[in-house]
Amino acid sequence: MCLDFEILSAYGDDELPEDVKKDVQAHLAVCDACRNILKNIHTVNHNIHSLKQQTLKGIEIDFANKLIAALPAALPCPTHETLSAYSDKALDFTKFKEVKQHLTECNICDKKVKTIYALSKAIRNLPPVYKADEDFISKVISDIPQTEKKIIDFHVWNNSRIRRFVIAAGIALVGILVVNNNYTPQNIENVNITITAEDFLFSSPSDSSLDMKKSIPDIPLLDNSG
Amino acid sequence: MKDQNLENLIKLCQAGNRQAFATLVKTYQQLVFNLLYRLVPREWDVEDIAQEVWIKIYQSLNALKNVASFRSWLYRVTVNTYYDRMRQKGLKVEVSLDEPFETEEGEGVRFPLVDQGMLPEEILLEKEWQVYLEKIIQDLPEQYKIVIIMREIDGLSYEEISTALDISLGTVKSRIARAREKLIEDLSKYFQEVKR
Repeated sequence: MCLDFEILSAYGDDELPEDVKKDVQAHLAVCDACRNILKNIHTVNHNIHSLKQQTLKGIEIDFANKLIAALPAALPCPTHETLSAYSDKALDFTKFKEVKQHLTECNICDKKVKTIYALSKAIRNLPPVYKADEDFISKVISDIPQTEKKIIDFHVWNNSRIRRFVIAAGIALVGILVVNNNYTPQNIENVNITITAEDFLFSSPSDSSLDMKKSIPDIPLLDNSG
Repeated sequence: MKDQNLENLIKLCQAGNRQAFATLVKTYQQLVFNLLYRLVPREWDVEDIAQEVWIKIYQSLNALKNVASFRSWLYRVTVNTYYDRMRQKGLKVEVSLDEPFETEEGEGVRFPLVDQGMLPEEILLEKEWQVYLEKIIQDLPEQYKIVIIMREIDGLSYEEISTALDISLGTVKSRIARAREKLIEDLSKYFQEVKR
């Protein structure tokens, strides 16, 4: 794993504590990429230093251009976090392209990404660790509270089509009763009506549950036959 | 399961259809087990906690507004149920001992010095390595373990993980990276030992 740019920069400036410095040196001994970055940091530092000297001598120098020309080479490898996100295609397009380009130039980062892919594949190929008992689902179902009916009632009434139908049916029924002078609202209270919303929705006109003549024998029905 | 099918199924469950709920459990129970089995101590009853998860899901399914986020929500309930159980048993919810420093993007990846080299893919797929890999996943600090299981085993996106755990995308990114870094580090060491 490559070193952070800030660490290398601090190392280049000899600003690290002794123990960290030793770790960095150990890493530099085995990592070409970090050695190159450190070399670039030294180059930039050197350029800045010489520019300062030359400016003092009154020589016209395009400081910014020279500095910028030296900087791209000093850009560090993407962090492990960036490479990890790259392997998940979780970077924005610009960054993704940048990393992709970097991988064609940097063998070390390319290897790291391949290792992440290999790890991902290995984890995805792990066999299932736990198989539930066959009766697990029935145990869950038997343990859930008995709220089914309440929820269903609530949702049926929430259905605007059913609600409108039931209201319209109620108005029609009251209308029929009012048109017929034999029935006053007081009489209606004594009639046992057992028609449900489902009866209206799903029964055919010949269905016995809709045969209002049977449940309200004295009320003449509207003539549907034309 | 396709989004439309899931939406229909959840609507039926919300209407109290137990058969539909049984189908939902059957479809997603393995996700819950995958996570719980790796999280909870061996002596705990995984099915008991999973059962509690599903009952909570059933009871609060009506509160789920966005069906597309069902998986994230299922994970959130699973993790929270696990934490509740930890607290009930008087155990502390674990925060990683090697908590990395915070950055603007979230939790920064710790400054690593181990040169891991490359791990050959064909070796990682061998049975012996799978056993070892399973073990080191188990040994990961909890917060890394959760994200790596969600990402690699159950295939959640960074956004889904962020929603499920209520953490920023930057934190998801760095935890996944950190988990991978740790796994690669352990595997590399093991690889070096085996090679000797």
